[in-house]
Amino acid sequence: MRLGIQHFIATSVLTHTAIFAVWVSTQSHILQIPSAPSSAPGFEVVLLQANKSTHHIRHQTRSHKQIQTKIKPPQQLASTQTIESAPVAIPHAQNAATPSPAAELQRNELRDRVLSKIRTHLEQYFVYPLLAQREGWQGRVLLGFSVEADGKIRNIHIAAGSGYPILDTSAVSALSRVQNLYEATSWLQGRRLELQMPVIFRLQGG
Amino acid sequence: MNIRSTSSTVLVLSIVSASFAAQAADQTEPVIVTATRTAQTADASVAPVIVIDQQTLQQNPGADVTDILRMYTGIEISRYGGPGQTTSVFIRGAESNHTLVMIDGVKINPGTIGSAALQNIDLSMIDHIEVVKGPRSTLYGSEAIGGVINIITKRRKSDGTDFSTEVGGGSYGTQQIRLSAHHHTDDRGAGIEISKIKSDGFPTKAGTTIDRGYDNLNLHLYGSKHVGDTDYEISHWQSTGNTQYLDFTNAPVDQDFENATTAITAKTTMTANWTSKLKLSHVSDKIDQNQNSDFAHTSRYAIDWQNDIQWTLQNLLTAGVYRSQEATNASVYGTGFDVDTYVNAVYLENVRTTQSTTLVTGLRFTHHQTFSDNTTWNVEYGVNLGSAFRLTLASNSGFRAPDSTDRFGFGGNPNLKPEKSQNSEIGLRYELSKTQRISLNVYRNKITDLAEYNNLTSTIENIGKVTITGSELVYQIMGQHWIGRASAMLQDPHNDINDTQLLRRSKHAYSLMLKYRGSTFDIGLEAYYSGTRPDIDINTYLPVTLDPYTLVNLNAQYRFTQTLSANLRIENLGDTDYQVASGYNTPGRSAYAELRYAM
Repeated sequence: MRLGIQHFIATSVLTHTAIFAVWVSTQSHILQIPSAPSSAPGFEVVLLQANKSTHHIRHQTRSHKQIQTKIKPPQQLASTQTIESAPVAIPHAQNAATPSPAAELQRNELRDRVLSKIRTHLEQYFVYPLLAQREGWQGRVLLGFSVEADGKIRNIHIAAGSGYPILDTSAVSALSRVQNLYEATSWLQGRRLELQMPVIFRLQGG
Repeated sequence: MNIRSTSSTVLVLSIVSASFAAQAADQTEPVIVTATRTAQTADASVAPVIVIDQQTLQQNPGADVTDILRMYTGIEISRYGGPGQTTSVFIRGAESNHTLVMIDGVKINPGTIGSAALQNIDLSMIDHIEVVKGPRSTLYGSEAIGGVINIITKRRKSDGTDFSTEVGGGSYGTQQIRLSAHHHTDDRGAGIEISKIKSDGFPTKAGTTIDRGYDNLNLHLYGSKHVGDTDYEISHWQSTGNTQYLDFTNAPVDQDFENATTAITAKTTMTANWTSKLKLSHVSDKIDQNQNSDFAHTSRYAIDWQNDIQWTLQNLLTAGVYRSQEATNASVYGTGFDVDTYVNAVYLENVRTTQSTTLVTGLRFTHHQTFSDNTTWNVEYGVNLGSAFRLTLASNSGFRAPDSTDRFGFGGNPNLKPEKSQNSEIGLRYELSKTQRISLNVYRNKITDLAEYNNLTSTIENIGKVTITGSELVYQIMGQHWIGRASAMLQDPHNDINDTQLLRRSKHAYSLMLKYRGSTFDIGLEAYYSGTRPDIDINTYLPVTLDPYTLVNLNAQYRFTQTLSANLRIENLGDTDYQVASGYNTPGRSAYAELRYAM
């Protein structure tokens, strides 16, 4: 019996040391969630991108004319209607010059195509972490990212967290695995897109 | 898990001049990641789990837990008479003391002898019941050989207050009154349920004429508070009352019973990916005979510290330490004991999930006071084959520590080893549509070292050997209005030592459940057929065969207003005369009604 208690204590100590070790080793990566860019690094990004976007101006003005004819009026109507019911306010460009409707539409179509492509890719990667399922954790994560002209997904960050870092990590991880949208390169025609995508984690039943 | 995009398209137009591309971000419709809430007892994606919801429990006045359980595939019961009489539950053909019964995760099986007093748990305190079939000792320890029944009691989770009362009665002089109240605000909750059940019963044994009654007072209380990252809860359940029965000379006798659990739980989020739960519990199981000095008392303290660590997005590790200290004290026909027993255990389980697969691996080391260490393990794997099929493979082990009667009762042997089981299982599930599913499970559970009385040595020894091979086929439909289940169970509960079928277990059983849920009323039908079962004749002690039987029940609910409803249940509509234990009566056609007011 005395042996039993000793054995028990020894096993218990070993187990907990193991748990602690595993935890420490996993802490480092699981909780490294890229958060919304803080002002300082954000500034860097803006500078970098400002350079790039000067190229875009040229590219875009050229490509507008090429695609203009393909745009159908009903699409334009649909887009304008949904602007008003947009649930999430996006900081619009306060000093943005009003572009031609054709330019907007073209951009919307492009963005929709890219997002729909990303969504198709994402479906293979999303995981609802089991701990979150067991604990009943649910929430909405707003992912921010850019799609570069070469189809690479960059600058993945949490624009708005769910309140559960595990869900945030899961969303970021799924998007990180998409990596490339080679198919989009031809549509992008040298432009880059700055996008946001809400991901909702929801439990059903029980 | 499945993923879909919302149909309502949300477009946010970004007015982009090229110079502003870096700041203005486009947004789109959300991606929705959904998952099913997991059962608390086991992962339903790899294990055969039955979940019985509150609506099912509430709509069956006059029934007890075992009346509801027997309608589910792979669960059989035997009973020594009417309401409140000792009832055994056999899961997948294993012994009645191979069913682990828990209330909110706390084991209530007595340490003296026999199985948990399921017949005393009133339905009104239950939120839902989870049944896991097959050995599950890795997470839950001793007794989890046939399966686990985890009774989850009611908690109010959303803010607000509710109150309900029920008054009912029916055949065999049954009367019942229930009261409940719950309150919840953002950081605290509390609730109470009280019920009183009284029944005149009927003569427990065939050929006798004296009604044997039952009364039972159930109480369930809880209070919870959230402080910082920690949830604290204290909860208590008790069932006290009196059961009348006939002794072996058919003389009318009675006994008092008390079953209770008290638990204090602290659950905290250590880090974003690690939750830790500490549970201190006390269980009491008492039976006191009123005509002589026989009694059986169990008092058990347990501490369970469980950690859940999501160490990668795909892997969840559960690690825990368990200790229990049990005092058993009994006297039966002059043979008695008064012993303390401790059990220590450590357990580890990892669940690896990907989009299409789940792999569970688990290990438990148990140190029991009377036998040296025992190891149990489990490996379970589930994989989606295409979008409609899911295949599961499992191998898991279980054990039962000898109880105090095995060790110190008549023929007792303090050197007994644990009974052990090794189960192998294969399951296939096919989703016919979003609302229909078919599942087939085939298993073989080998149980060795069963503690049985050896006539040659007049001692209980680890000499029994049993192999149970079985298959379960279940069709389920969960439509908006129609809910149904049809199932077939074929099994061979085989005693390997004397080449016989195990007592009171059948080789085949079929059940059918059909329910219509309307706007103001629900109506349901249950039918159950059980094949022949061997038993020992109550009078001659010779082998006897219990006849096959068909049991048909009806239940209905009518909602007069949002707050007022009535439940009706007719048991044994065909007035079938049958026995589930040789020489003991079962209810004939009987009816129960109940009026419920809830606000």
